[in-house]
Amino acid sequence: MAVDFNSIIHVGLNHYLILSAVLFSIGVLGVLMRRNAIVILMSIELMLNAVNLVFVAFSKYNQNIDGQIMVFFVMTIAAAEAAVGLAIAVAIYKRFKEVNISRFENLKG
Amino acid sequence: MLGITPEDMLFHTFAGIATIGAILVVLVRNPIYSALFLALTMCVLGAIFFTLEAYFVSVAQITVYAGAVMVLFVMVLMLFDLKHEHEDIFRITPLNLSKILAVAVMCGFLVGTGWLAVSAVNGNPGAHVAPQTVAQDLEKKELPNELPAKQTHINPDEDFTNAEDAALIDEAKKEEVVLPDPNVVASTSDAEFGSTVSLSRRLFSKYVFAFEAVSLLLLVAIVGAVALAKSKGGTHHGG
Repeated sequence: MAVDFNSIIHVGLNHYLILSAVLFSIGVLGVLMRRNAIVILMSIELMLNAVNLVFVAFSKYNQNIDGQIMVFFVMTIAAAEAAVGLAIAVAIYKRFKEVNISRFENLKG
Repeated sequence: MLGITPEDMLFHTFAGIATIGAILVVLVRNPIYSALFLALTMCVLGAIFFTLEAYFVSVAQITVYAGAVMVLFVMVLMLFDLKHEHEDIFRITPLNLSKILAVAVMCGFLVGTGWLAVSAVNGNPGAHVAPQTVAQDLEKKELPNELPAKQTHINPDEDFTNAEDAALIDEAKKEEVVLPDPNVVASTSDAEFGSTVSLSRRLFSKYVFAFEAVSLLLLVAIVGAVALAKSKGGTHHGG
């Protein structure tokens, strides 16, 4: 199939889906490859943002506002998750003076 | 024929910045720089939301994510002294290569799924979906049920249960109301779509229980975060 240059330039729903897939994959890569717990939390935020982009894009292209409301819930969950995750990171740092996730295997009690 | 509209240029610019920012979040060694690049990516995503007519979501994205959450990250990083940390993500090992390969395959699946889904809706692979055509298709499908409701109530975003719908349809039949032009309905819903009014109306009617549940979850998260941060390192190591 010949690549239609027009369909690459003109933005449609699939552009948003592809951007979101790329951002999500970069987030997964960060979670897999980094050892710093805080950077891992940031990568998770990146993945949640990619999902938000899909929600908003589908919301626009279906003219259905429910997707944008889901984005609010995702944002709330992300904020709560960041707060708890960072509190765990602080607890780990207090004990080991670093936030390498290899320390998390000692997490108990 | 290549007519590049400003929307296209905006999207490609923002998409490029967001992708580069996201890659730098993962690759930069210093976590502070990671946080700053993440803030950049979130701001750019907020701009993309703005171009998608999700104005309130866009503002919330910038205030909540690029503002509050990133300040939280930077504050916590400020407490730590992470200069001596060294990571091995830059070394080429079989493990790292297999991780990259796995993520590349996953990315390919995601892109392919999105592409196929859009072309299944559209019937034409790769062609761009005009929002108006999809919206009009939806309007056409929903018109028999929606129209009486839309005429008696001005706001199209309000929810109707089936019983209410049926009652309204009966009313419309009894009174022999003249149905409005579908294009008029579509244009009014377009004008209201994405506005803060319609968003909050839906949030506090259909999703009010979820809203309350989320507020409870936030309370639990606050208590949990404070309790965790006050503990003296929640591990059994060293006593």
